[in-house]
Amino acid sequence: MPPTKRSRYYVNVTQCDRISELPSSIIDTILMCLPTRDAARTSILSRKWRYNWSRIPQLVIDDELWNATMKKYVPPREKFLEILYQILSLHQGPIFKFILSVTGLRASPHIDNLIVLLSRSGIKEFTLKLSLGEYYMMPLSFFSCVELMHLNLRSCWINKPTTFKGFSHLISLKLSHVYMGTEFLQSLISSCPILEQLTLEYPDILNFLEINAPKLKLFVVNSPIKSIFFKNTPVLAMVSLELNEQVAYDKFPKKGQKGIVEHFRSLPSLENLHLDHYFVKVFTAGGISYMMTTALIHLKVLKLDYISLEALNELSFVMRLIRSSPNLQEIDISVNYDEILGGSSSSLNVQDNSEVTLKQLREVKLKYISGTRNQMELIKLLLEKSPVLGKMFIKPIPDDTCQKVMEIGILKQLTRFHRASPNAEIIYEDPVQMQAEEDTDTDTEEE
Amino acid sequence: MASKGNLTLKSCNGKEFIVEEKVAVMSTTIKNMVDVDDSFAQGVIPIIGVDGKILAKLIEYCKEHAEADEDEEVKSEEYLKKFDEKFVDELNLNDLYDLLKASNYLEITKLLNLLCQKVASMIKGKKPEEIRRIFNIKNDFTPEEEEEINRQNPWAF
Repeated sequence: MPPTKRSRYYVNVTQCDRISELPSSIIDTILMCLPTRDAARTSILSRKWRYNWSRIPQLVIDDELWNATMKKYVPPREKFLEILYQILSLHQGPIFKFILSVTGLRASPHIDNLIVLLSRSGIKEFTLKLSLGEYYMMPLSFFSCVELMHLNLRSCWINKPTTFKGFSHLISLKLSHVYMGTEFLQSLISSCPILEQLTLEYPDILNFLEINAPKLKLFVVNSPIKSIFFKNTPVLAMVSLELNEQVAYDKFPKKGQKGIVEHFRSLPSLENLHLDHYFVKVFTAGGISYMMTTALIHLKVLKLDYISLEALNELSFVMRLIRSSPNLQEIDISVNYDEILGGSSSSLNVQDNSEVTLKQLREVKLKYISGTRNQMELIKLLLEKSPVLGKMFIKPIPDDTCQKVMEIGILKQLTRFHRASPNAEIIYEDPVQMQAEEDTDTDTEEE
Repeated sequence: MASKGNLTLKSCNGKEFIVEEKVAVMSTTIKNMVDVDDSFAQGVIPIIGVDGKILAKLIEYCKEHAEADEDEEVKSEEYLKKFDEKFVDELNLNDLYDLLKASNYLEITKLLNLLCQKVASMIKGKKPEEIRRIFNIKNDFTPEEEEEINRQNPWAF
C-alpha cells in the first residue's frame, strides 16, 4: 500500500521549518500561484510570512475573490474601493500584473487613481473588465503604462491623446466593448510593433479596419465589421472572423485598396481559418469568380460555421477553399440546418472535383447533417481524396418526425463510399440537442 | 560551442552522471556555462549544493521534457502532464524543498513552476493552522498582533 498523501507529509517532514527559509523569489512564485485570498492569508502564518504576500508583483481581484469574501457586501462599488485601499496600502514594490474583473462592477472615477498608480508601478499585464452598460473613460495616465505587454479591456472608452507613441512592448491586445473609433484603433494596432495576438469584440458595426501588424500571429474578430484589409500581416497564422449578424459588407472599401478580395492573398502564413456563416455570406454575395487564385499552402485547419451547402455561392466557396488548400489537416463544418428545407439550388459532383487532393487531411467534423445530396457528395469527396484520414465525425440533426428513416438513409450511403485511407474511421454520433448545442460541441466522441 | 554530445554532471557528494547535452541544457545555468566555456563541455560540470539523489531526480525530469520537445508524437502533452503529476506526487517535503532550491539555482523554469504549483496546492483553501502543521511553521505572533493582521485585511479572513 502506498502511503496516503497526508501520512507521507507527516512521516518525512523534518522538525524544522524549511519552507520559510526558501529564497524569496521562490516564495513569491508560490504565492503568485495562489488565489489572492489564499495568498493574503499567509500573512498570519508567522512573522516571517507577514509581509511576503504584500511584496508579490501581482494583484488579482476577480469573481473568485469576490464570491469567496465580499458577496455579503452590496453594492460592490463602495466595498470594492475599501478593499482595494486595504490591499494597496500594504503593498510594497512594483505591480507587474493587475487584474480587475468583477461581475457587476461598473465604471468609477476612482479607477483613475488606480491607473495612475499602475502606470508608475511598471505594469506589464493589465486586465480591466467592467460591467457593460456604462463606459469607463480611460484617463490619460493609461498611455503612460509604457511597459504593457498584455492588455485586456472591457467596457471602456478611450479617446486619442494629442501625443501617443504606442505600446512598444505590447504582445497581446483584447478589446471587448471598448469604444475608441476605428481610426484610433487602427493607429493603436500599427503603433504596437511586436503585437502577436489581437482580439476584438464589438457589439456595434465597425467600419473599415486596416491591419498593419508585422508580428501578428492570431487575429480574432467577434463583431459585425464592414471590411478588413490585411495591409501588413506576413506571419498571421490564425484568423477567426465571426460577424454574428448580417452586415452590408463593403468589398471595395477605399480607392486603391483591394479589401475583401485580397483577404487570403495577403495572408501568406495562414494556418488556421475560422469563418462564421455571416462572413461567408457577405463574402460570397455577388459571385466569387475573382477569388482565391493563390493556393493556401499553409492552411491546416478550416472551420466554417452554419454553411448552406445547398446555396450555390456558399457551396462553391467551400469547394474553392478546399481546392486551394492542399495541406489541410482538419476540416470542421457545421451545416446551416435552417436552409435545408428550401431544397438545393445547385449540386455538387465528385467528378467535377477530380483535381482535389487532401494528402494531409487527418480529421473531419461535420455537424447537423441531414443526408442531402450535396452533404453526402461532400462526405464522399472527402473520403475519396484523403489517403491518411484518421477520423470522420458525423453528427446528424435531430428530426422529430422521421429521425430513424433519415439516419438509416445516411448510414446506408456511408457504408458504400470508397475510402482512400485504409485507417479511416467514421464515427457516427448521436443527434445534437439543439438547446444544449454549445455544450455538446466536442464531448460526444463515442464510436 | 560545445559539441552535441554528452555532458558529465557531478553532484556535491561526488556522484557523476553522464547526460545528453539536450537534457542538461534544459537548465539555463548549465546552458550558459557550456555556451561560455568550451572546457565544461569536455570536462566535468560540478553542480554545487545539489546531492546525487536530487540531481538524479532533476535529470529524470529534464530527460522526459527534452525528449518531448524533440518528438511530440511519442511524448505528447498529455503524457507529460501525467508524468509531471506523478513526479511531484511522489516527492516528500524535504525532496520538494531540495528540488525547489536546485531548480531555482539551475534555472530549470518549467520544473520550478511545477514545484511552486505543488506547494501552492498544499496551501490553497486551508486554514492557517493547517498550513502551519503541514509545513512546520511556528506561530510566533502575539494574540494582539494576530488581531491586528485580521484587522488589516478583514476581507481575507
